Amino acid sequence: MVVELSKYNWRKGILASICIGLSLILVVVLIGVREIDITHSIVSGLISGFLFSTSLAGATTFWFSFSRKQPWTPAIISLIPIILGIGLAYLCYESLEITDASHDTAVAQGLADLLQMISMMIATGVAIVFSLVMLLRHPTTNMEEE
Amino acid sequence: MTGVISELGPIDLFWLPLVTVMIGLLLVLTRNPRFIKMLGALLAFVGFCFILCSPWTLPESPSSAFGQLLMVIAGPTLLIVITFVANIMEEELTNSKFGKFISAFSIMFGLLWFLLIWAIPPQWNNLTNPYWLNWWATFLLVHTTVLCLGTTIITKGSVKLGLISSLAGIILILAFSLNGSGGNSELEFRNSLVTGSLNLFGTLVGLAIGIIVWFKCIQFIENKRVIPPLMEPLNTDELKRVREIINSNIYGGGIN
Repeated sequence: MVVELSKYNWRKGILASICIGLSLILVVVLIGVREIDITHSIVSGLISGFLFSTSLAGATTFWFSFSRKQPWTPAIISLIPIILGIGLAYLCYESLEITDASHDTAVAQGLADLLQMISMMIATGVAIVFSLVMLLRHPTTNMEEE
Repeated sequence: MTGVISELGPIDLFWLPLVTVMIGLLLVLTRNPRFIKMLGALLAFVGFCFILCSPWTLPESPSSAFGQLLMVIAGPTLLIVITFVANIMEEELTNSKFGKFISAFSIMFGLLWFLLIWAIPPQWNNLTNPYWLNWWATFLLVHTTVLCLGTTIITKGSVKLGLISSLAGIILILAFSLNGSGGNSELEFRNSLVTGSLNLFGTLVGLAIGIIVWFKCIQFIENKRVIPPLMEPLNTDELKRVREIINSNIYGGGIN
């Protein structure tokens, strides 16, 4: 009997991995956690991610305007999301009072959250590369006879 | 600017190098001439070295904990990347004896190195590095879920190894949640896992929203641009002249 161990099934794969991830988190929460500031965790990631992507996209627009002699209007317009992000960050950090014991100002907290976000992204990148190494290390066919 | 001139502080020794790394990577990853790419790589390298040195140059600054984390994970990460390049990306290297040796050596020592870091977590100001546990928990969670995704979608590869690794990831996460990870307690690990996953979710949403907002802004300004008027259709004389030029270029003027 031929067993198809894997197929081109993205939806199934994404659903399975989300289910596994959520179940793991749920089990860990059920085991018991200390009081977690959910708003802080999500908002800090969201604002850091927003500022990070708009800053990089803005810098790329500036570089293209400069190096390829393109019009400067898009480069100037790309500043708007960055300013918007900084305003949003200020509003969120001040209104939600997102600061922990080791950071006394909103700016210090924001910068620490940005570093946290970068470390999370590095962790994600390393985990993906490591998984690919595991999966593709010894390429063999997956159609196996049982 | 006063900080830059009077005394070297976190701005000069950490944040400026971090911006330099970002700019360097941007130059490397976008389509540029070779010289600019090399300049970008050099900028990124110099900035990265400054960040790695921050535990010594800025021992009191909280940002240096991030530099310490990078320094600790740089080695095993590099070994894993070497395995990835030697075993998957470079086909010639994959089939050679040297490539197989390098990839086996790198993955073995990379894993051992990670195991060593897990057993002796990096210490910063007599406490565990504040970024380490979140990094470790996120790494385990993403690794487990990506392997789960990979084993479902790939058609060529080590599915069995992927399934076993994914299972091992689940067991490791549960074991650390019940017995603690390295020098950290079980409660700290559980908190880090939940905080890290929430943070990662927020980051992914933030990155997506940021790109969409930037795209919409550029689209808005591009749509406002005045379209140049269309050229009037050619008259008979102009058409005749164009035909002559095309004929002369293609047929050497032989056909009219």
